Amino acid sequence: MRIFDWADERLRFKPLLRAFLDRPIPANVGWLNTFGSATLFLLIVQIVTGIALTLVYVPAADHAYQSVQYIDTLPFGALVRGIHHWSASVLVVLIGLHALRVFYHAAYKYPRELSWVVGAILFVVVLGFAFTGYLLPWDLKAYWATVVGTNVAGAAPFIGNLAVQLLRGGPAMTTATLTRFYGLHVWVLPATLLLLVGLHLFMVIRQGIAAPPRAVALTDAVPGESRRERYEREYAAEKRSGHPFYQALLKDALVAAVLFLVVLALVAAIGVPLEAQADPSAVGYVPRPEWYFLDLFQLLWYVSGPAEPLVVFAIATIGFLLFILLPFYDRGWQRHPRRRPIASLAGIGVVLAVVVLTYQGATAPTPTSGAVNLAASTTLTVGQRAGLHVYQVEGCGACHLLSGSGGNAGPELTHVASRLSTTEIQHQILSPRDKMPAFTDISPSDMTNLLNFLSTLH
Amino acid sequence: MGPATSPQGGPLTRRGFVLRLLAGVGGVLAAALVVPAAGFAAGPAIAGRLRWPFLGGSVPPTPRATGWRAIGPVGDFELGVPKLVPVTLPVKVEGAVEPTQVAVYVVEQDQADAVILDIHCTHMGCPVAWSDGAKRYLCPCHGGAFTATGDPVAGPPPRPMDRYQTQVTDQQVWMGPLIEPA
Repeated sequence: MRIFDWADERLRFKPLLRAFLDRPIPANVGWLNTFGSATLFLLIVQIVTGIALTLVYVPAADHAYQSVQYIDTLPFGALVRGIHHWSASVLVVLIGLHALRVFYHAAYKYPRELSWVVGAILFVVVLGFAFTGYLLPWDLKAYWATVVGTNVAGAAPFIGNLAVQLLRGGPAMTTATLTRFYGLHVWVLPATLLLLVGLHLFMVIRQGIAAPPRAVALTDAVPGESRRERYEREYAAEKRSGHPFYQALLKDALVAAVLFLVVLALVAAIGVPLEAQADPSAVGYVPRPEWYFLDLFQLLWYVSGPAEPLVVFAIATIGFLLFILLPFYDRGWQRHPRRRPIASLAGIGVVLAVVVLTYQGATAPTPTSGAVNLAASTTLTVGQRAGLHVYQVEGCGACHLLSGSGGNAGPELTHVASRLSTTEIQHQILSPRDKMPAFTDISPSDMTNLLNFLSTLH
Repeated sequence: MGPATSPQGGPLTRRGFVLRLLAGVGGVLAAALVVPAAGFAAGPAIAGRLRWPFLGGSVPPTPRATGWRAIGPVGDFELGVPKLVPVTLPVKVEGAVEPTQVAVYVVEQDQADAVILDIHCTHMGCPVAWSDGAKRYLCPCHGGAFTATGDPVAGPPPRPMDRYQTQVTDQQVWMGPLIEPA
């Protein structure tokens, strides 16, 4: 304490500290407001563990994977990498919840529009961290997710090719790509992050924490007052009925501690994933991104045709602009969720879309070798069983879903017999109407058995 | 620049002049710093061939190499049936030549002709696998399907599979550089 007083006698920081810790904040500020500080906490966790990892990790394709394996053998190595891996996932959740809280409270409205804009850019920066970070282990998942991710950038009109090559450091995925992603992940993005977080916090402290919206205002409107006067009158009343900031810090600390325990539990329960080393010739590998990009990955199912790149680019650009510019088109005075039904419904719609797309992405079928798992209760005659064998040998399951397994390039066949007659099915197999290849080399007896089997699928 | 005035419209003060000068010097220094740094960062990316297509598209991620290499006698391949062949390419990257293993599909057309295909789906670049049953290359990502010679038949792929320059001479199949998508 004497060192503290000695320093304060020179630097006079106690008044600053008091102004920071004892400033009044609105009374209704509660648990939902902890998401922002939790995001900040997780960013600090990422920075500390990330810096530690750079001391061993080698950002070159011929060595990166081995250095990550080596990290896992070092004292605390698997723990530090595990915390870095899992707190990245938790961070994506928390920054999403933080944005949702701000949306729910309409805290992005006057006078905090710029806090939203900076926060929205930070959201994109965090996704940039996630995207550049998971290439670094140079395992199969890393490699192929980056192939897909960089190709998405190729959808942009005119500059698509340039964008892909800027990201990869050339047309191909090579050690140049890895070195670039490393540079982005440990220098460019962190510098951007620190700058923007500083700006974001400056605005929060300068303007104070937004009061959660009330259905009935604390103070009465004064005729003829300006927007600024109206805001300051109500916010002053919120602060008068509020409590000092340090009380809110208790909730923040508790949430941070719980989240850290969640991260540790994930490390203990699941460990740190690392697939086989990246392999540009890995035919048969099924690329899937981390869960937080599954919704975007799944979205690619729903656009096809020659204009697809344009549609993908338009969706991404419009989505980004709608997100970042929200305060400039949603400018109504009302902040209570029930008083702005369109915004509330739109918000719920976006959340539902993300959840549904993520779920669909996580459960998306993939082409299979043709193995079919029929329900245990299914009873097949000898002929029908032989037909099932033909189904498997001919690879029907590569394109068609049947009882939960198979691909989805073609229509599902689980109930094909209730849609098509046996003759129609045979006609479709021999001279298909659409993109299906003709299977004319199936022997007559095999065809009879196959049709027998398919006609059981009601 | 218009006549020198302060923001309030009055004559330019010493303070206003100094601040403007500082902004100007700062801007010049910032540009002098950012232009070479950004140009350097973009350099390796744009050293190669760049396209400016209105409709964007995927770029095959396969490591590129120049020159020709023999990848097997014609007798190794079955007419019309794709065969996955591992090939080690000398890939020049960041100042060094690294032997890099890639894989290609080789399809014999007849005794004197063959097609060599890049394994990546032209939609988003996932590795396609040949299915003997369906007689299609199938993409594990978004349901794309291609014929044996790489024509798209189902799903979102916008263009045929990318090809390598190919020659058959003296009963030997030769593989050249990747033909970049147009």
